[in-house]
Amino acid sequence: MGWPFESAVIRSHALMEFSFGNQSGRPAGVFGKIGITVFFLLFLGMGLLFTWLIGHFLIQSFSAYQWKPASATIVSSSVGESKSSDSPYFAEVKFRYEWLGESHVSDQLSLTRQTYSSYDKAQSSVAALPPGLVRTCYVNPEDPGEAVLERADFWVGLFILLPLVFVVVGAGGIYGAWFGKDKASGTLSPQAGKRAKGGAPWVLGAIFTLVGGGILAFWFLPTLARSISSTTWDETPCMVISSRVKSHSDSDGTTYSVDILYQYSVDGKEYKSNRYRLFSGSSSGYDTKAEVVSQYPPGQRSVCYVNPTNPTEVVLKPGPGWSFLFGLIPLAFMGAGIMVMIQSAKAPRAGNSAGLSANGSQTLKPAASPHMKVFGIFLVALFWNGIVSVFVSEVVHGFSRGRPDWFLTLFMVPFVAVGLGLVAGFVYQILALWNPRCEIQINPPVLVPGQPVEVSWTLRGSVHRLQRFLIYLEGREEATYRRGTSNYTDKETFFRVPLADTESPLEMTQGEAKGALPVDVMPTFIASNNKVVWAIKVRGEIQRWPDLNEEFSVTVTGGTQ
Amino acid sequence: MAPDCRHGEEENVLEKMKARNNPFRSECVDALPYRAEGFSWDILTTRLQAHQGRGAIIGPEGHGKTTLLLEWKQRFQSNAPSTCFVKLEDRQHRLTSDQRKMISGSQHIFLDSAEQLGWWGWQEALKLTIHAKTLIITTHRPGRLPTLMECRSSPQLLAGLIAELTSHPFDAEALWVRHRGNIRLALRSLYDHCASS
Amino acid sequence: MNAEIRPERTTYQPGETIEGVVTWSTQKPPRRAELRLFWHTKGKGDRDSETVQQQVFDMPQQQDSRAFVLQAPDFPPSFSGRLISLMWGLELVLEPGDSQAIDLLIATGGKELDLQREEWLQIADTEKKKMFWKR
Repeated sequence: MGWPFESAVIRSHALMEFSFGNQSGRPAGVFGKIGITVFFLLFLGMGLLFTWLIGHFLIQSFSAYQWKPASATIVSSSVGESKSSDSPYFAEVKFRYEWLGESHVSDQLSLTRQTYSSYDKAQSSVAALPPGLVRTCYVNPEDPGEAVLERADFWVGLFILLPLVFVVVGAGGIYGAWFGKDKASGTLSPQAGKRAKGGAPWVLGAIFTLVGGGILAFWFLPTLARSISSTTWDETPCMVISSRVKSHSDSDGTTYSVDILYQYSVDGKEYKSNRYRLFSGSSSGYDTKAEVVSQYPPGQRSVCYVNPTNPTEVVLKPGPGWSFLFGLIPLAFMGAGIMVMIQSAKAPRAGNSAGLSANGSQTLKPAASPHMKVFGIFLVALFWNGIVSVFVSEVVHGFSRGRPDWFLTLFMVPFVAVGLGLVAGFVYQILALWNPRCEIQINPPVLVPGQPVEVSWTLRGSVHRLQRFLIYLEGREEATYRRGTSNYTDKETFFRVPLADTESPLEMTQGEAKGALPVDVMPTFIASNNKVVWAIKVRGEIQRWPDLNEEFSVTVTGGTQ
Repeated sequence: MAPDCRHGEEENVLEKMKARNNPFRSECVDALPYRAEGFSWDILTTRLQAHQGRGAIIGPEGHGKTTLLLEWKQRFQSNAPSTCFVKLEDRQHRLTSDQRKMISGSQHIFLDSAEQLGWWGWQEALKLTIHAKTLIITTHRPGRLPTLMECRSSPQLLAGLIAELTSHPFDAEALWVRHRGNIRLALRSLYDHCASS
Repeated sequence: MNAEIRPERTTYQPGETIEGVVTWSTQKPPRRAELRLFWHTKGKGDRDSETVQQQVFDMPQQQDSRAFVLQAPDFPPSFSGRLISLMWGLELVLEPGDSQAIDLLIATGGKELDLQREEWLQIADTEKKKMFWKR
């Protein structure tokens, strides 16, 4: 890799913010603060309410961990049906156990009853507890008549984190509004206020991304893969037991879903299910659902499609159907989250400046952190390859069956290529994480032409891998012009003077340069279309590895501007 | 005040070209009047009247649509004060609230880059201008309003414009071919040529 | 309109006083007469400009001559690079009617800052770097 002076990467110049950008950074007034407080109080209030509700539920669920184990025998197990409209099915289990020589019978599977909207899920739960099975139950020592077969999993406790995030955001927002540093109050640390502003959207964006990505990765993509493979499941005769349009009412109005309970048998064993399609949520529009239901009156003989590896998994209609598009909603969530995160990361935060030290020097930090780059490309690669993998698995499946789908195979080639490119980019950024990190200090923090200035650097990490290390001060013109409907910015470097240029690891690790800018250089100048900007650039050449490449913006003042 | 674009050329004969003396600086390029073979304001005005004050100037990027529209607006402004010029940004599918206000309060509307508006945006623009006396747009393709004129460029046109800015001979034909007839792009590239010569 | 702006000279140092006389002759007495000190850019980018000071002349006559006193600002200085030139100017605005402007140069030493200096771009030249920096 060579020395790309001519194609030097040029980034944004956050430092200009504190020289010129004093309009957008005004601190909020008392009314503004009250407004912000009310907004975040909503977060805090909702967060606390749900923390209490979930906490209460968890304490109740986990109380069975205080109970004592005993041997239990399943007496009977079947799918029960309650009057609940949304989740009517549950596993109805009766078991016998002995406690201090006394025999007891319980019908409590767990402390909080798990109900299901789909029959086959309840059926799977029942299938795992056949009559005669001996297993451990947990007895309440204070009331031996009370015992459960299942205790809540510990990971359920993680649910408490969801409302806690709202509590943290709410409390942090209120704290930031009243005690956070204002941009106007610090002479050279505008980043404090900026960070507080940029932090909250980033956290919200991250929550959106994680929730959307989680639903996408753990529900949407597996379900999409299963619904595509359901087209190859075994066609099996079935009989409709009951059919209806189920309505779901809430504050947003009423939605409808198809609810057809049918019976089928596999290897002589009877099963029931009410699953119409794998993607079948509820939505508005009664007529389309009524039309489907009318095709399956009770007693009607039809066919269903049974998963050959799991006879409880069955659908009346194979394939994803159009309703799978509703599953793309988490995709929109994730996209919105990523965009918010990118925007808040792009926003000129502390970026190039950190606080003043006691001796009056200023530590500069690069705008984009290497970890952010890795995280950003990781999310994009995960999202892209997650979707592509569903179709690739179909292609692979076709080849393994000896019936390759050549059209799909060719169609997927460019998508797979982009996916591989993203993986390569991710690996590149990961490798760059092992690059040495450079810290630059300048004193005084704002350069004045003709006045002495001290620039010192510290390089941390695997410095020995650098073959050449160069730090230089750059001044450049930036002219923006409109071409048609787009804006273009041309850049022209007029000043490029090295501060350090060495191949010795010892000199790379730490050093300083003293000097003065020529008296007749043009100071930093920012107008709408025309700018003169200054930066300290760091380049480190590493063989067969991503180069070290950083830029730190600085301000050159005209004296009394 | 028209910029003196030839001034300063000589100053740079023996030294580097300064931005303020570059004959292709933005103020000079922007000040070039619209020209085309057989172009006449009378014909254009007659066509506009024939289409009840509504029409489109069409043509590819960098072929003078905006220049012509701005000049037309200047001509209108001297007689009819209730005139507005709205320029749409890249991928701007809807009008902004300020642009809507400007359009609603004007009788003669000049809408630049109307192809950026999506279907909804265009319907909204039509609704806002329903009572306007004049609506002239620029767009890349015909269709939205009756075509009043199609802007074209030629190597001769480019040569004429260059000659207006500098006495230095440039191969206008080669430039025109390289930039596929985009005059604006060709003149921008001459800025760089002069700056680095 | 016939107007003229006559400053004592056209080159100033930051902070210096800009003195001179403006004269005009119009068909009707102008409603408003004003002299503006402004900077503007020329070059590849779209134009930026800003009026920094102004002097309004009371009760302007059809034919008039007025003295003006302004102060040359400290920033930005007149400069010229490959992409941008920044120039100062005085503009006489008579309403209704036209305006008239002349160029000024405001920079330390009375010389426009030149950004195209070869010695500032010799990064590999170790001799040159000693001109500014010593380690």
